[in-house]
Amino acid sequence: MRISPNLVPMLVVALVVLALYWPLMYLANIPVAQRALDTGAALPCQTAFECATQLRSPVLPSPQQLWNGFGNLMFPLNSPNAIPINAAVTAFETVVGLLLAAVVGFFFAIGMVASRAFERALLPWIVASQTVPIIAIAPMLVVLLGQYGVQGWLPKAIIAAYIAFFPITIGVAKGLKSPDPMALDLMKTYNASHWQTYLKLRFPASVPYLFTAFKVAMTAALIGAIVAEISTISFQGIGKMLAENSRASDVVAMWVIMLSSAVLGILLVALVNWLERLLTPWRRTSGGAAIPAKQARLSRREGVG
Amino acid sequence: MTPAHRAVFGGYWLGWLLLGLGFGLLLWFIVAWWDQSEPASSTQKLLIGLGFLGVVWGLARVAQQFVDTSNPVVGFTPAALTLLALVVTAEALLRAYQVPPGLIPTPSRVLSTLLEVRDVLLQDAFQTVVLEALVGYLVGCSLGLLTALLISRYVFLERGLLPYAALFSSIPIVALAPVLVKMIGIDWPSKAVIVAITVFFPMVVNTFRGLTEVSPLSLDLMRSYAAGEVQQYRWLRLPNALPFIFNALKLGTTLAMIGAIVGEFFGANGQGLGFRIQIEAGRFGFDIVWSAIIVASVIGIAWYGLVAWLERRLTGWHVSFR
Amino acid sequence: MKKWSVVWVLAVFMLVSLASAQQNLVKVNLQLKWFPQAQFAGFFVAKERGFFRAQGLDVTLLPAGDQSPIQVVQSGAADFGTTWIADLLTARERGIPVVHLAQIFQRSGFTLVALKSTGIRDLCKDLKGKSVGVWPSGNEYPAVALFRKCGLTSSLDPRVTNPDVTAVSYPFDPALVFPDKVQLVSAMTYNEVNQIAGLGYDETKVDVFKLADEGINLLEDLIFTTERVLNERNFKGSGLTGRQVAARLIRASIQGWNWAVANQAETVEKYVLPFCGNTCKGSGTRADAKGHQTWQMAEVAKLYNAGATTKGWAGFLVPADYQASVRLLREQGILTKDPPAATVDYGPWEAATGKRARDWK
Repeated sequence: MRISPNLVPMLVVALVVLALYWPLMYLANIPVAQRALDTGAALPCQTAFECATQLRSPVLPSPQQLWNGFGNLMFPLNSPNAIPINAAVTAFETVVGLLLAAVVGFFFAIGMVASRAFERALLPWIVASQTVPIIAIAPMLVVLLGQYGVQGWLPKAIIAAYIAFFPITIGVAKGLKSPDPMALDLMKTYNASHWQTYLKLRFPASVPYLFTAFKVAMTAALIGAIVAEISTISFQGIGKMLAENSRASDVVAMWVIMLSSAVLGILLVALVNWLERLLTPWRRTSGGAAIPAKQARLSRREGVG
Repeated sequence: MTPAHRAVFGGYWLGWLLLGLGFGLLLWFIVAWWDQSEPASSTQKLLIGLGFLGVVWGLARVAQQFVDTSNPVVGFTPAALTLLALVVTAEALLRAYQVPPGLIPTPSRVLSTLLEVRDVLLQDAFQTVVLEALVGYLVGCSLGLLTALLISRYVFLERGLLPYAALFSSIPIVALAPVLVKMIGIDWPSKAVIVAITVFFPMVVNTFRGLTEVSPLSLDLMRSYAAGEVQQYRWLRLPNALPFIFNALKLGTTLAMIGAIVGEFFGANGQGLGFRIQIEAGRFGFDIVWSAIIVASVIGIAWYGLVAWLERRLTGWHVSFR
Repeated sequence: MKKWSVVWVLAVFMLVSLASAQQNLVKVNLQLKWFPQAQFAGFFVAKERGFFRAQGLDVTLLPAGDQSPIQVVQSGAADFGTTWIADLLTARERGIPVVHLAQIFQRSGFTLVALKSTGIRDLCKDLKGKSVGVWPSGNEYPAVALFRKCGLTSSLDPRVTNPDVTAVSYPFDPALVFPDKVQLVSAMTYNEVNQIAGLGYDETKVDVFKLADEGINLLEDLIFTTERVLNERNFKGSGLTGRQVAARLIRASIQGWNWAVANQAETVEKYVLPFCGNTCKGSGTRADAKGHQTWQMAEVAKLYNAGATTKGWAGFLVPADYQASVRLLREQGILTKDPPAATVDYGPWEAATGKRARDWK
């Protein structure tokens, strides 16, 4: 395996950011520290410069504080108040939400591609559904579902699905429509049935769009799950930790949870990437060695769409 | 519409008839049950179900009529009918089951509340949409565009920054909200920053893709004409990137609204749709919550529509519009 | 010989029934109004000292997140909850069938705190044009009642475009907004008042306006449930009715509260501190969790040891106090009609204490 050409530039950027972080942290924290000292808060330090790294509510936490915060929140690994279990709960809700969203998304996408009437009647509301602030409906939805005994993680997964089905619907619909008109005409000349057109042409053509959509939807579902945990009844999960520490005003913990949720998001999207590579091996090799280096780099690019 | 089509769909009169019957049934029940305070009998609930089925069936038939129109208002008819069907059915069901307004308010109650509180909600919307979402959106999108231009130009930046941008666009931005509100304060700028960060990363990744995924043939052509860097961007890369940019812009509209509203949940200065929703949800004022949702949605749809309209004007040539 | 065997059989029978009683504890979820802290000391004592178990209950105490306890209980995620009377009554008016069962705190601990330097002397006269920090999720009612009583409109009212008072919402920590963003900030006598002191604004620098002194004596921590739970014939298959479970819960809770208030130092040490994390700390100079909770326990005891409790009627909702709360909320337009009689149910409390509500003098 070759070392990625990105490695050195990425490291340089990371180092620059780290080097900038210290002065920025001092710049942001010193005024706060000065005020804390003036009001006579009991801090284990004398000068504002010293205190800048030890504030209980820093504007930017010092690396030392973050490190300690990670230590406090990561262990013990099986504690209900530590990040690992809560992150696992959130990840579970997210993945279930994504699967639900995939079912709904496919349904709408196929409906929209198959029938213009269906598209006319529903597309505006599918778009509109995304402008509805889910955080507002979440409490109502949870109380309502609770009436019928649906409690715990399932309402969160449903809320995650509510946000995630949109990119899947749009992505799959775009994918199903993507075959070249020539290819569609060809299918017609072969007298292919509706279903054959879907199976042989439209579905395969939609696969790349599908995975791109899944990547966006995964992040959306994670946002949905966290929002649901924040705004509804929850006793576990990253969102619950976030709300709790926001209420307790533990800034360092909030930073640690924010960073952990970032890692969780990256891991979940990496999962989709891995699945994509596993299920569509032909795409990996499509770059080919014959294309000159610069262009190979261009055509290989897969982004989030 | 050819006669053959007409034969297939059996004419529209049946659809309109079903639609009318269904709506009639539902409306009749709503009127009959307007002042009642006990749940309806199961026969009446069955009638509501029948009414709903009639409306859906009728709608499915009638909608075909509007498929090929180019007039946007006429084309919107099926969508409007769908909404009307859902609202009327919801009203009938909520009345039939006597669901308390503290759980779900009836649409009629929401509408009358919306009229009553519209002034305050518009004030809230100004704070949330214009100051927070729009400012954040414009700043975030322009910065994203600039960044994408830079990293598409300099390979070092691309290698150093793009992997991070791709990573960061998979971060759940809501997790940033409490930290940023704490850091910047509870006034609107903190929410604008949340929105800007939310829309920034999708913008970078999409625009970069658009700028670089140009056909090698066109690039060769540009080179053979001895086109300079600027010309290359002006005539090839930017036009090629437009559909991608608009994708990010459209995605950004909904992200911006959610970002601003979620941000207000972590502190708000007495105004804003998120503030209103949070306060009223806590005190079971769901009629006001829904009114705020309607305001937020209407603005969200208009915003999305505006961007989509611009996209159609500027990238009408793209495959997906054929 | 025969006599002995009877004794043996009896003993074995008792042991078996005891053991099965141990296993057949009824699982009950009690939703607290906030994170674990001395505010709920009585419930922690009742759980840890086995008062709940002695009543055949296995109680789980749920901390509050961002949601109103009423929503949690209404959704069924908890069976009982603690909340304040204002949001209980407004929820009832909106059609949520919640029922008041027992009144733990007999006095209001809600205050508004202002820096002396802002020159606010008289709340009603000086409020106009000020910003006030309030907590969302139904905790803003005392402040709303005050504004209305003073004839002022606020930004909490969705029907007023140009309010006299700006209500600023924030996630509960006064340090977020006070004193930079708001001139007055909500504070409970037992918690935020000390947090504000810890930020460097102690009694010499701030005025603490108790809303009870302004005629806004809305009762706070109480135990409630829904009609659905209360009228349960067979609560979670335990063979007990909902009312019986409620009575047992109230009996053990009052027992726990009496113990906690009588043994404050031990309560804080053994039953509060081990269960609370970050949320037990104060702020700044008074960040130490033990100090803050000891102080909170003493303040909470004052709210518990008042009114009916001092006459040996702990947990009793004094009808006159209830009527006063209702009247206040109606006068200020927060309630539009009197709540139905079923909103308060003395039955479980009577069963728990053996007293009768109508004997109250």
